[in-house]
Amino acid sequence: MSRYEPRIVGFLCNWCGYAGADLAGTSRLSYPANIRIIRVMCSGRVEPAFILNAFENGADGVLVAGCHPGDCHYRSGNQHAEKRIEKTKKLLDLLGVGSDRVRLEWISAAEGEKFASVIKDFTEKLRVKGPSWLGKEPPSTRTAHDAKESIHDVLKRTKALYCQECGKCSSSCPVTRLDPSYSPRLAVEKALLGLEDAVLTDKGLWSCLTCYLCRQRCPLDIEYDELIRTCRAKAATSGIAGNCSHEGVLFSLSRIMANPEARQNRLKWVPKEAEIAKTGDVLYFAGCLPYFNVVFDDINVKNIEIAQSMLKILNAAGIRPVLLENERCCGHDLSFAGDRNNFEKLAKMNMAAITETHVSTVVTTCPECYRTLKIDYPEFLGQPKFEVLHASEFLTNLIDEGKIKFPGKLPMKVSYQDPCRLGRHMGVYDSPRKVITSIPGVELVEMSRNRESALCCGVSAWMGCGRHSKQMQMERLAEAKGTAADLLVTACPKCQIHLNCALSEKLPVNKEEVAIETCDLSVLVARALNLTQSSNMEMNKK
Amino acid sequence: MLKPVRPTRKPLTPKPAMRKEVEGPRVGVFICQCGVNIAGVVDVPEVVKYADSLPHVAYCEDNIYTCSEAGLASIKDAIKNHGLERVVVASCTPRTHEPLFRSACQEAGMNKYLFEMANIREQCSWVHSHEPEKATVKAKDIVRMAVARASQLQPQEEAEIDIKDSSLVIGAGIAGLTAALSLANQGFKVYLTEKEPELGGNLRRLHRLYPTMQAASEVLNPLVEAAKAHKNIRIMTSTAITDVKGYVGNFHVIASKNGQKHEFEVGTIIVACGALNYEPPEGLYQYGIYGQVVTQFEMDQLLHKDAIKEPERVIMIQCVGARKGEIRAYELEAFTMSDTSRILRKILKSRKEEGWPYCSRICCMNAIKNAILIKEKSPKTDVVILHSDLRIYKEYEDIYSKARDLQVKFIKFIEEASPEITETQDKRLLVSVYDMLAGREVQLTGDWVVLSTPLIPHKDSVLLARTLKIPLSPEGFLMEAHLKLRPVDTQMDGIFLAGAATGPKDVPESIVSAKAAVARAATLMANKKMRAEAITASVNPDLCRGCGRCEEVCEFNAIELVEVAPKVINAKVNEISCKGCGTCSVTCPTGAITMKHFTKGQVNAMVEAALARV
Repeated sequence: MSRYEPRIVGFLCNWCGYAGADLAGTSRLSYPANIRIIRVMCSGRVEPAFILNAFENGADGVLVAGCHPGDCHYRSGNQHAEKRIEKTKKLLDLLGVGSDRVRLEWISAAEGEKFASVIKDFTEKLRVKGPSWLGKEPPSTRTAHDAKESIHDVLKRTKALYCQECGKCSSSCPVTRLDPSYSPRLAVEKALLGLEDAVLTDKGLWSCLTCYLCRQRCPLDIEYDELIRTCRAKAATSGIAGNCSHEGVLFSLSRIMANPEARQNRLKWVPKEAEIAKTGDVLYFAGCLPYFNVVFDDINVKNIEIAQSMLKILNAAGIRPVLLENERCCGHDLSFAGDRNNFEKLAKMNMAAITETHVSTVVTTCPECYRTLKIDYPEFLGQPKFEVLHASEFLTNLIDEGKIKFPGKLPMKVSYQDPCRLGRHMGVYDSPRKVITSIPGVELVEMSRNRESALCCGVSAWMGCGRHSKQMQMERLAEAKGTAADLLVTACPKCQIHLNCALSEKLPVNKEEVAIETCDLSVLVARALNLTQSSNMEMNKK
Repeated sequence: MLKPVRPTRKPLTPKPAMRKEVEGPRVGVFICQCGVNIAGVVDVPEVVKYADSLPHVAYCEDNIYTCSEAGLASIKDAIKNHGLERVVVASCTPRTHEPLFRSACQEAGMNKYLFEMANIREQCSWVHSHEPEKATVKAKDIVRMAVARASQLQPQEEAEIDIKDSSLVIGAGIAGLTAALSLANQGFKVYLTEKEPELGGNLRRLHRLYPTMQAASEVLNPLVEAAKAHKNIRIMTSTAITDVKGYVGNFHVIASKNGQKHEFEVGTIIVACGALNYEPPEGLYQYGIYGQVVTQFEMDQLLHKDAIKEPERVIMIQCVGARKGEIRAYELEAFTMSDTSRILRKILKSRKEEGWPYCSRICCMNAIKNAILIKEKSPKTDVVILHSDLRIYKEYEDIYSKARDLQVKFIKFIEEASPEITETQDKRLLVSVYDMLAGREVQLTGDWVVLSTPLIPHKDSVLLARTLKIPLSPEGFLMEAHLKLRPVDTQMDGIFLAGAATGPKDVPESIVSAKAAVARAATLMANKKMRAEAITASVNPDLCRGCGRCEEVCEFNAIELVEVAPKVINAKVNEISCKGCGTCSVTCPTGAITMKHFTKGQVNAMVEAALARV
């Protein structure tokens, strides 16, 4: 019987870690043969995405070895490595992979013995811990399952076949306005001319925000976003991938969640005093908030407050919601990035898990989860037995039914950012506004581009973030600032992340022109109900 | 015993003659046997066969020594005859021969950045010699990873750096002075800094030098005079180096002389900051308690002042505070004689002795030198050297013979039963030592006990190493880039090491190492130009948000935000200053920064290849 041999990937820095490993060799020390070493110039080069990639591919452990603090060949690379690996460990704990599968060691060029003993120790510990559950299945192909639909069929399905080349799409497109080389009309024309290769290899394929503005304006209702989504899936089968921001970490997380063996630890955010249940009428689908909370801890947005606020509101309304222990990413981003394969795996597992609870209503604070659960899942899994509502709709009902009552006034001027997925995709414009204006003292001032004309927050599905996204964010924030509102209310965790990211960076304009506090709708309501003390409203004071 | 195996040798796999068609870039793989270093553990023919089956591999061969003339010629031939576009050599660590193989590829017309090494020696055969099957599996994995990376490598162009023809020599001891004069004589401008107010370092405090017995001042003074008089040397005493910025050929040095700041630019730096003589803690062999217990360094000064007046007996103890924790050649239990073991156990104490784990090289000769000097001046004085080993190398055997001729006595003891010192009634010193060879305890009454202590790294040297980013050896000295292949270089291009800064050395050794460092520095400066490694960051302007995070984390001011359009800022890289660490690329939220030669794609390809199930 063959013994389980842990598979370890090591990222060793050229100056210390790798040299230390060499010294172990020169000194003819012995250590177990389980590690496969990758040389990098500095431990600061190690991206969390590399580590997650290793686990996705079945590694049982990852070692990162760099210079001792203070001795980094590049002065502070190892300090950055330390922070990044701390973050990665948190993510691995959430995922249920286990933070003890990653090890950061300081091994100098003179510490051959230390290297050998670290390998021995790590290998033994991993042997005792057992294999990583990610290794049971060969890694899912990042590419889509065969997008067998021909381009012609896609054009027919999305009605692009009827394009009359009026150009309303291109003239409305927020991307085209900043990057004239990108043109929805041109893309459709290329597809119609049968220039499939040109469409699939065009880098513009990944620039689309799928914000629906073109679809809104198109006289023929052409589903341009659907054309883009399908073409991306087709491109992915040919190995073409767009550029994902944050090194593709968010996609790694979703793909790891798509593994049937996943047993996450994602309910740590639930406060002890909260009331949740295993069965009931209402299920709260939190989405990737626990993960966003870790990944985006440096841009002044405490994403998990959204979930905590929503839970408090539900409890205050006398509702004990069901929270899934193994809720998985809804798969929206993977789907829009071309990875249909993993999207479908997530969909099936989420659908089964929710159905098992026999809830009648699923409520979510994320418009993308909302759209995906309500429209995309049923499209291939059939209509579920539960109703899917966005938080804004659910809160409207609670207010109408008198289940939540605002105790006092919250005197402030607020503006509201219509999320693409909630607004144009799903047609929900009134509910959030109803909720906002129900709060006594709150005055809603609209931005000039609102409702159907709202400007996208600049990034979609983590793809194509760049120069133009920043310009869009500056524009939108300036627009919000122009309303003289104290607060910009968002109803989408992504909008909040993207707008706040822009505010946390170096600005090409004066800060006063764009700096405005953001706040999620549920956090605002919780505050107004006196359920929370602090919120990112305080934190965003700059 | 050797005769039957002598003519045998691991056979080489026959070289492929036909050109093989493959998809993608044509990769050639060269597996080195390295004599028996690799082939003795790893099944090289099997690895060759495996490599041949990998995607993109158009050619595969093994060599006895790929780094030999024949091996390099083979690589060049294969590149030409088989149209290779990437080369992988599976052998030792890239930190030894990567430059060698890269030039071979370059000579055959291939861009040197299309070359990749697979380390199957230091990180495989040498550490898994007891598990040859596992070593072979690992070697295959390593080769697969290297091929995956190689197929993704791109040609790179290197930027050219101008090298200034001036040098900074830190430390004006024998090594520093030698280096400064040698450089100055070759026409280079030298800044010679010394933290003390006087030039000369340890030599100033020594009496005589072995083996010639000449006065230290005889060696030192001419050098000091020459340095002071040389028009190319600018001497700065009472000067400490506070910071060094820049890069090879263009170092910006910030020094502090008596609190006043001085800044200047140099092309190269030679670190000759020397070593310190270890002073034993109070109580060790009664040092600091009895005035007649001194170190050899102090004895030198006493001899210089002529303070040693015909003592009856001088006892010297070797390895005081040195070789602590060194592996002993024998164990206590090996002694079968019951008497011996009884006595040994009696006098064995577990003393927590402070000490350094290495042999300080020079103390044996140094003790003998002082023994000879004492004997020659006062032949009636009994000189006894207590040692656990005598390490006398090179031609210094002659001074040992001379010492024996002069009737210097040598007594061998063991570490676990080291000598004990007490005071006699008439204020002389009584030394008890267990004579290993005689097999009995010996009592010696003496007037002086001289402790031979090691040369140790100075705290200031350690701080200097931090500033210059030079790593330290386990003993705490400055570490050279490679013990055998680059003994005076450091990991920092343009910074070299000389003298006792890297470990205990005597005067001739210090001079030789200083001249070696000068040769390295002068080569660089004489060439006036150098090529920078092309591992630098590059920014995709479309993906750059102008967030500024890269600018914040760069320690070398190599990336900054500039306005490229109204209200649009983008990051821009300075290729010369960029050190290629990659921190900026990880901080970049959009992935706009690519690290040349260490791209995400290349690293991920290695990760996936490492874990591929075969």
